[in-house]
This record gives sequence, C-alpha cells and structure tokens, in this order.
Amino acid sequence: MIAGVRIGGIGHLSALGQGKAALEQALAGARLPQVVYKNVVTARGVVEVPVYQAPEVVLPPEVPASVRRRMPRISRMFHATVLDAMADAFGPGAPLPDPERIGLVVGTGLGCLDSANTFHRRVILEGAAGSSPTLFASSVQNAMAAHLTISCGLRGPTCTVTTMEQSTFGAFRVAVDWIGNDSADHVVLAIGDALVDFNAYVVAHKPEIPRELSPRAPGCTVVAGEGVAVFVLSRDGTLGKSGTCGIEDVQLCPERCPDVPRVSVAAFGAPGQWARYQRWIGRPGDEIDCHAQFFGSFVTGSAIETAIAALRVSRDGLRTACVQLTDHGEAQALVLGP
Amino acid sequence: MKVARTPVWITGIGCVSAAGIGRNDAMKRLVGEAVSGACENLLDPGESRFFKLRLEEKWRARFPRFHEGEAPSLLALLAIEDALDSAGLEAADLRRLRVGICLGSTTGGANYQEEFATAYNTGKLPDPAPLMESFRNNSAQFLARELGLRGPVQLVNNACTSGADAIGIGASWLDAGLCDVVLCGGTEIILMKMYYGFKSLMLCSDRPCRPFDRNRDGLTLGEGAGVVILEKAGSPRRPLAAMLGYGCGSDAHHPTTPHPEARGLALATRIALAQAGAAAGAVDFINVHGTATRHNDLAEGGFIAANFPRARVVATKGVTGHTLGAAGGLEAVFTVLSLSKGRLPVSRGFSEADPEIGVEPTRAIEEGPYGCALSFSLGFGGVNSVLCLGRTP
Repeated sequence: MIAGVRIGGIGHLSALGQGKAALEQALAGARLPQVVYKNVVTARGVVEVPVYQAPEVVLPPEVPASVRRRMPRISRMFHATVLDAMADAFGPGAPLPDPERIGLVVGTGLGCLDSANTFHRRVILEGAAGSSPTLFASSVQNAMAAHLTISCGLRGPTCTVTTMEQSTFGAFRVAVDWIGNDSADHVVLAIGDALVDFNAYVVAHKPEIPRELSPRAPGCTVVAGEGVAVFVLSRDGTLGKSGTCGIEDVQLCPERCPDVPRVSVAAFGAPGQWARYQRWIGRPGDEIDCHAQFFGSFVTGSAIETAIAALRVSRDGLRTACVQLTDHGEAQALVLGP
Repeated sequence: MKVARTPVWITGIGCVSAAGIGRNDAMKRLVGEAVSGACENLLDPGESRFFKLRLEEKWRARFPRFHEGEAPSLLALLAIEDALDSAGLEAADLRRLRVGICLGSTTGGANYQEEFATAYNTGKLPDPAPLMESFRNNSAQFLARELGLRGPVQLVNNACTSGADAIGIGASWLDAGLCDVVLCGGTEIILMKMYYGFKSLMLCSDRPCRPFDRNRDGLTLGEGAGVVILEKAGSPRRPLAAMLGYGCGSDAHHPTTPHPEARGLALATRIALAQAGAAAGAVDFINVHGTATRHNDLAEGGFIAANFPRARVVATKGVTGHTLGAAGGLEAVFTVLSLSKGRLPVSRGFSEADPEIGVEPTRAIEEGPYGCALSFSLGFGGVNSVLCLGRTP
C-alpha cells in the first residue's frame, strides 16, 4: 500500500488526438480515432493494413534547436505530451519546482526502434560512412528521456523501463518508489510507443487483416496503434491542489485481482486475451472497462487505459484497479482512488 | 532528506566478462594473478577493436536452438548461476521463494533483431516471426521463464548506468515487500551497429583503454554480465556486503557528453549517501565509471578530487572493456569482492597521472580493510547512478 502519492497532472496523445479533453470526448461518444491505411509490400504482394495513427505534434519554440534536430518522431510525441501534463500539474507557464526534485521515468515497449533501424539501414547500405553520430545518439533506448531532461530542464532521477507490456506498471513502480524514498517530490511519468514500419509489416502477415479493433472479441482483432500518456506524480501536499486522483498501490506480481468496485484492463484484441482477463479478474465482462478501440493495439496501451481510469476516478470517486496480463500470464495491477 | 529504508544484504555475486567466467577468475585477473586460461579463450583474437566474448559453442551445447538474439540472456544466465553458487542457492530454491529479476541492458526490451533488420532493410521481405519472437524474449522475461521465477520482472534501459539502476530498483522492490529475493544487474552483447555508433562519435580507442591516464584516447567496448543477489537483512544466507544506498540524477546537459561539473553525478551521490546515512568522508574507495574518454574521466575525476580527497579510486574497464548496460552490474560485483576480501585491484591501463583530473587510480594491489564504497555509473542521455555498498561483519 502506498500512501501520499497523487496524480497531479495528465497528458495524452493517441489516434483520438492530443490532450485530456480528447479522451473525455471519446468517452462521451463525441470523438472517433483517426484510422489510416498503409500499403505494405510483403512476399505475398501488397497488403492494405489499417493503423491507429496519432496526429503530428507541434513543439513550442522554446525547445532548443540543438535538441529539436535530434528528436525522432517518438521523442516529439513524448515531448508534446509531457508539456501538456506539466501544465496540467504545475499550471500553464508556471515556474517549475526545484528541478533536482523532479524525476523522470519513461516506459516504452519498442522505444526508439525506428531510429535504431534507420541507423542500422544506413550502416548496412553505406558502411562506416553511413554511421551518423546524431542518429546513433537518437537510437539508444533512453534517447527520449535525454531529450526531455535537456529541453525541460529536469535534473532529478531519470530512468527508462523497456519490459514490453510490463513497462507501464513497472515504470509506475519506479516513480512511486522515488517519491516514497524521498529521491524526488514529483516524477514525470511518460509511457508510450510510436508506430514503426515493422508494426504494419507484422500485421500484414496475418492470415486475415482485421478492419476493426474489438478487444472483447475471442479472435484476433489487432490493429496496430500508437500513443503516449503522461502522468505527473506528486507527493501529497506539494502541488497546492488535489490533482486527478491518488495512487493506492502498484502491484507487480499479484496473485489475485485487487478488491475494488471497478476494473480496467489492457486487452487489445489478441486472440483469447479477453477470456484470460475475465478468468483472472473473476467478474462478468460488463463489469470490466476496456477502451483499446479508441487508441489501437500497442504494448504500452495500458498507459492510456490508466489515464482514462484516472479521469473516471476523478469524476465518480470510485476506486479502480488497472490490470495488465502478459502473454505469459504474469499479472500487474495499479490501484487508483479518490 | 528521508533516509529510512529496509537494510538489504548482497548474498550472492556472479559475473562473466573478458576478466573471466565467474567471480573467482575475475578477481584473480583483476589483481593480476594467473588464471586457468579460460578467460583468455573468451577474447576473440580476430577482433582486437573490442573485447568480444566467444561463447557460441557453449550456448549451442546447452541450448541447441540457440539464437544470437538470446546471447545477452545467456550471458546473464551464466552470471546468475555463478551468483547462486556464491550464495549457496540451487536453481530449484528459486521456485520456492518469491524471486524477482531486474536487469539492465542497452539493447532494450525489443532485443534488436539484426538478422531480420538486415534482410528487411535490403528488400528481402523476410518472415516477421523471428522478430516477434525476439520481442517476447527480452533478457528479464526470458530468464524469469527459464528459472521459473514468481516475482516482479523488469528490464532497465538507461544506457551505461542500466546495470546499477537495476540493482537500485531491485532493492526498492525488497523495501516495498514485492519479493523475498532479487536477481539484479546488467548484461550486454556488442552489436556491430553499436560499434559503428561509438566509432562515429570518435569515442573508441584501437587498443585496450587507459582509464584516467594522461594519454587515454577513448574506450574499448566489451561484453559481459554482472549479477548480484539481494535479500532483506536477516536472510539465512551469509551476507557478502550490504547494499546501503542508491541514487540517480540527470545532467540535463547533452545527449552524449557528461556535464563538465558532474551535476547529475553530484545529485546521485548525495541521494545514495543520504540513504546510506553516510558522510562523504566515510567512503574508503570508489569504483569509477572510468571509460577512458576525455570528457568522462575529466568530469568524474574532478568531482572525486573535490569531494572525496581521502577515497582510493579503482578503474576496472582496462580489463573488461566498457560493457555498457552490464558495466554497473559487473562493477558492483567487483566492489563487493574488494570489500569482502579487503583488497583493491590494480587499475589496469593507468600509468601516467593526468594533472587535469587530479585523481590517481590504484597502480598496485592495495590491502584494506575497507568499510564503505561507492560504484559510479555515467551514461548517454546524461544519466548518472551511484551505488553505496558496505562491508558486513
């Protein structure tokens, strides 16, 4: 059980758009995600594959040019969403608290895979001459964290967690522990993934290409997606406001589902996934929330599911557990309360 | 700053690197003693540009379906087996306890699939199945399944501080009561694209590196794994050392160059010492990051000269090379060995002091006893991590 850590601000970017309001509008039925179609060349011919694609973001002019030119698309997505969350937590344009007391945790499944592959391609095609130092620095997995700390001036503890679908709640655990052991007063927790060429290529090799993501369906309805959710976690009493909701617990290997009135799950259309969640949670499906149809299938989609759950806790005051099961059956759970 | 944390013991250590397979060979090699010759065979004589381990035959004998993407996991497995041996634990014991695993590596959760990517990038339209398989098999998840672990699983990707961060996170899991035992540290295989990347930054030396030396001319990449076993104090196993504190801090300065005044390292050190309840003057020795690049050694050495004038300095990358994400784990193992044996190794590669740095690492074996030590790690992205370790009675 964790005492005294609150979500003080939230940022969001997905196929629904940018900002908390986009999530709230989708929940109210007033907004649909942007689904685009890509033509993928495979050994079987050209295959049309749908993907949930986030809009391109615009960075503010304050981002130094030296950082901006190094930022791949995923870094720009993280950056724009972090700025939204920090404005939500600390106030738009407000001075930051002591930057040494603000930590940063990045959680991602594929991370800078796109940059890594671009770097690799140039080395293959051009040898050492194709090896760009700027591209190499942007291809290491903590590049997003580097860009964020430099351009936002965050000087506290920094960590990047890349345990595929387990990254979301693993990153939450690191953040709450830093506040708990007084390494930081606030932690900016940025979690997400960007579409890379490989996503659509993998989907294009499935026997049937789903046209619509339905996380409760028994078969495969995976439609690749992308997105970022950012949470500013703060020690209770350090923000001067109550924020969105409290974090009651982060369980990395619970044996059973937390006993709470509502449960959200990170199902994203993999075959048999919904049934596995129902079995583990032990509840009928209509008592379980899931929203992957808003943002698509990607390994850290649970972060956006968590943002939705946090907004609901703020609105209706009911304690909620967000649950993640891996392909291999390991469980993780985050408990949110008013 | 709050200091309270659960006292944590290090009850097992294990490693594999160019210094040798296993902790015993590594320590002999570090202090300059002759070893069985096993470690010499680890170095690929055809690849003088970095310390490439040659273990493929060993893997294939044990895992007939071995794939090169699994090499970081298998290196970590060797280190874990060495650590279990030092703790007096059997692999079967791990299934009876709540055991977590937290590993650091720079290659990421999605083990980069060079074979697939090469085919894809040259227009060969390969089957994506191996790519998906590698995504499901990052080192922490692979080993959790291999060893039947029931605790938390995590991979940390903080560039060259990853191994140290994994140990710090492992200690916090014990603090939070998430598990009884944690296997934590780092593991790394050098992919060719990484070698090209470091070369493009002009950070590589063509000969074994010379940390803190006036004539240092860059790092030498290396491969390896270093793992410690953490348990709450009072475990039935004999402690080799105590894990007293862990801190990290960011330079917020440059993607690949450390802050010249070691700003993030200073914060990381303050947090680690505060958790340990120790003053800077209590630190007997520091296992430095010591990559032998101009900027790293200047920033790190200057910080030590200003804040730890009494502490002895040990640099071990002249033996192991820079093992990137594994370095923090390997050097934690070496620090525990130094504390428990009361003996500091030679800082191989160092011969002529650099007056700009103002710190001289060990030139010969130095005898202790030593009570308190720090292990420094610095990495791309301006990340800095510090472990504070102590001798146990």
